[in-house]
Amino acid sequence: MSVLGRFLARVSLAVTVSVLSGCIGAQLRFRTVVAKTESGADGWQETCLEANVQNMTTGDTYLCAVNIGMPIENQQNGYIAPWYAAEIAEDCVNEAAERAIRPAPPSTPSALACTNFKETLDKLLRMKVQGSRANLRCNPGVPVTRVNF
Amino acid sequence: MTFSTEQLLDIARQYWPSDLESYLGPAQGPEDKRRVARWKQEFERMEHWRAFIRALREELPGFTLGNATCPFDACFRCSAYSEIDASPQLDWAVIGCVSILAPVYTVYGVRYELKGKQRLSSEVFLDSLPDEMKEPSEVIARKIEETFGASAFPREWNRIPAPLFVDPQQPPNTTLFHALFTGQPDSVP
Repeated sequence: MSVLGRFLARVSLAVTVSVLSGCIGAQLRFRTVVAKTESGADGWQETCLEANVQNMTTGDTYLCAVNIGMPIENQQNGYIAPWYAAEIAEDCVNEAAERAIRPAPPSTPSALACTNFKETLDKLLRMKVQGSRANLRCNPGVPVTRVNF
Repeated sequence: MTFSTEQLLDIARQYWPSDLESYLGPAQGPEDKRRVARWKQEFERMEHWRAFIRALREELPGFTLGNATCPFDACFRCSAYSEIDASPQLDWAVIGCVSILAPVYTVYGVRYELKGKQRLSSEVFLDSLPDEMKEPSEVIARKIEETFGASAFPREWNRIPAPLFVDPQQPPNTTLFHALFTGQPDSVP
């Protein structure tokens, strides 16, 4: 069992979670972190999603902070404007919540729901935009969007 | 190579969390803050990196060069996609990385199975590169050494475990390669 698995097994003894699926509209805002100045793949933009994963039984909450990053241009999509990055990311966030949060059984530890959500989001983002990422914990200065799951 | 693996691990420990609570916690810990501060300094060298890629373009005809740097990693990256071998089913690239944590670099290969523009699967070549990737990887390596004076990260060190959380890598899977360069080598723009 991985370190994470052992930690979550420990946590799950004390916490039972039922998660409420949230849906975000056009809210995400991407900020340029590395400007694009060259032809071809270049540049980097980020946004931050803070999803409040709530245990509907106990009221216990867990803040799931996910830093979403995308190239400003890549091989596959060409130029990715911030509004387009937001549109793609919003679709992926909703899809990831649908896949990883909604079907999670009530016994799912909230930390596991968060990492499952992050990993699903990362896969979905990469399918749509090569080179994009979803990581835990947000960098300072990145626009934050808060949602409830 | 002037650094031992222990020295490189000591350096990496300053920039990536080593405990699960810090990894899962919503707030950035001291290692994250150090890494972000380091990148802030390194962004000032981005123009130098771009100039390197422009120069590399001249030496790699038949390749599409790009700046694949992602500040979630710990390195500057460049990508050289083959134009000659590209097909609707298959695409490959050679990736050059210069660490921002230590004066080391590496060059690896990645091959993608495609369906239209979508990547169905990927294969990363860290230890031994396929024949078609060898020449471009040697060009990139030589150019990195000339430009940045960095030392090649020995390929036999690629699998050395690092007890660190380098998202999405977690111990015991995290390696020194992940910590010094990238935790997602197959994620290339």
